[in-house]
Amino acid sequence: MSQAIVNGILTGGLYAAFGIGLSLIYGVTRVISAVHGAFIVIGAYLAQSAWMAFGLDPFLMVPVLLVIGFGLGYGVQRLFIDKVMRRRVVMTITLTFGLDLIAVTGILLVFGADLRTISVPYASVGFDVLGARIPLVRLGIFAVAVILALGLELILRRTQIGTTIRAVSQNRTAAELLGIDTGHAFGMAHGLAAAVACGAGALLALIQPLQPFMGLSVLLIAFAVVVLAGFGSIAPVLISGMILGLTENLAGLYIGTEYQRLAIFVAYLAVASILPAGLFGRRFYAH
Amino acid sequence: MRDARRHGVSGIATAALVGVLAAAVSLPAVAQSPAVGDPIRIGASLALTGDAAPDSKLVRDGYDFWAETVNAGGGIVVDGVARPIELVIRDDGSDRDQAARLVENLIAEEDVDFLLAPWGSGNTNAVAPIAERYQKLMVAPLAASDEIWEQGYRYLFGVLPIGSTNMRPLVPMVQDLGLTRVGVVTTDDLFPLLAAEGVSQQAKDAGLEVVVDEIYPPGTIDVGSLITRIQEAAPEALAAPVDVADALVLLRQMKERDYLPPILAFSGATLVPDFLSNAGADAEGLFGITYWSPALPYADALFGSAADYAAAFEARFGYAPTHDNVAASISGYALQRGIETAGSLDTTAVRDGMLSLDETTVFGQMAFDERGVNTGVTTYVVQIQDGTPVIVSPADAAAAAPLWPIPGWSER
Repeated sequence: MSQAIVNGILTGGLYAAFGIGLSLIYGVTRVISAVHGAFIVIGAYLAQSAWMAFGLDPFLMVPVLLVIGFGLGYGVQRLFIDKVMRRRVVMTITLTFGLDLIAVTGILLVFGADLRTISVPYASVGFDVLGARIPLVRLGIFAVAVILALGLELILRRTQIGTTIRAVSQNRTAAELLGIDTGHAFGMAHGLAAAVACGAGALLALIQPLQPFMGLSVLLIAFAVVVLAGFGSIAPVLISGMILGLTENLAGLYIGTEYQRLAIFVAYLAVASILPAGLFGRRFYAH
Repeated sequence: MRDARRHGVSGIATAALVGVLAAAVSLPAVAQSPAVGDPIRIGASLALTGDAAPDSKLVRDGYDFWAETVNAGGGIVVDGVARPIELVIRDDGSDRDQAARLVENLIAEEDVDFLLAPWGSGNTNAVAPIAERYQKLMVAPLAASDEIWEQGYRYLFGVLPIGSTNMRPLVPMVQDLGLTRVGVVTTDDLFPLLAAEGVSQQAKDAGLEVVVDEIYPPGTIDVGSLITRIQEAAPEALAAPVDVADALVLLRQMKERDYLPPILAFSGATLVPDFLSNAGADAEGLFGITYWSPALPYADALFGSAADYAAAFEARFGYAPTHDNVAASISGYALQRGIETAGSLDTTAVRDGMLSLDETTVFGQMAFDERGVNTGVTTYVVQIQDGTPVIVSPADAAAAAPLWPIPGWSER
């Protein structure tokens, strides 16, 4: 029991990191981004490559990935998504899905289809607390995921650009009348979201063998987290990630491991149908 | 000067042309080699990208190696005409629906003569009905799922024994070691489920206690609760017939938890190069299942001995072949022997030819029953000892004794 709770919380932190960017993008731009999983996978592959080439620890690669991810997200927003943002939702989904296909094919061309893993020397280091094992790697992943979430929250609440993003998400027309460059603000929002996704990719690379097509299952988890949290706010996303991690682990332990993934999506469906605004109500960044 | 050079060049060219013509005219008379005919076109849909790509690459290399070996010898002689092999391989991206479409396309549009199957039971199951509908012979290297062979497919052959028998040889080994508590965990997929059911049943029949018997979704990111269940049950030997990616996740997360059962056996995954290169030193001591080793005293007319096969394969592809590679090569060879026995490319004649086979290959004995299943193959338990897979059971073929318990993570 204690082990399942520890696992659930630690993995939940990572799940939250998958979801946070998706939530931010939707909260600010109202775009449901299917390319989000690709940012995570790109981050994972870059972390694995840095590990292979220079022996660089994936945790140390996170700051680099934040920068790269920011550039990718900003570029994708300004070059592509901007063009269709005011169109119907099917247009933005089709576009981001297309971008995802291109990204996956690119990953395949650059990195090939072979499995890739990172095996850090401290992989078996851990602590025993109250009969539960806390692996150092998992603790590190959890800590970095939470730091990424809190950092994003700080940027949105305490910086000029954060204020701009929140203003734009609250009332785009009013922001434009005030002379705010909304395209730039949307680019910044998507950049921040993709930065966290890329950083989270390095964390994923520490626990999962990399394959070019892994983005879809990651994206599904991100969606489940965000639906549970309600689109557009950060603290609930963290809590939702942990709820899903716990659901998965406790279901695996008490119902059976064959039902653990199903449990995630049952929770997703239950919340989506009973509480369509998410467990935490409808609360956007601007409020 | 320029003119002289030009004359010189054309003079040499003329001489060469005459020589070639002379050789072309005289060669058939001297060497009595058969005339070279059109290639035999053999189609296959493989997962060159996607989830199944690491496993499918082994199949592709195995097919290529067979075709290259045959072509180096001139081809398959049919009716006095040597016909080279032309493989027509398409990438299904690990998508079974796409595999079915591609196979239909290979038959209907590309006009292939025969088919080789994709990697794995699930994929073979997806394309077998198409081959059946068009009455094209298809040989499957790695379709061990029992169900496939109960469908009554007339045009499908498989070179592996059926899957439920895959991990059974583990049971007598565990008994010989005096152990009684075994566990079985597997992913919710065709072959893994069958292999798990087979070894679980065999263990119970042998009077062993199955203390944990779990199924989990393939591709699970967090197998923590599974490991908790295993730890609580504390099996002395754990059988986990999962694919390479799932095996890596399970091994990695056991390491995070500083846990390892005294005996841990994956199925074929233990021997896949992608697994060994990614697991590195963590693979030491792991058990696995194979149908083949280069050390076995098998041989045939095409590849020579099992050791010859291994040496030539490694020289060509840069890695030591696994049973997946050999099974793929032997799938081609089975088709070849069928064609040679039939003396034609007629589907019914080749099918009869294959059913009549009973001979040794580099893969062991090859004899197909009415279902199309190869009943000649022996299954071995291997262990990674000092970085190399060695056969540890059954005793009469073992190159070393099984070492257990596998050293714990802190003892490495």
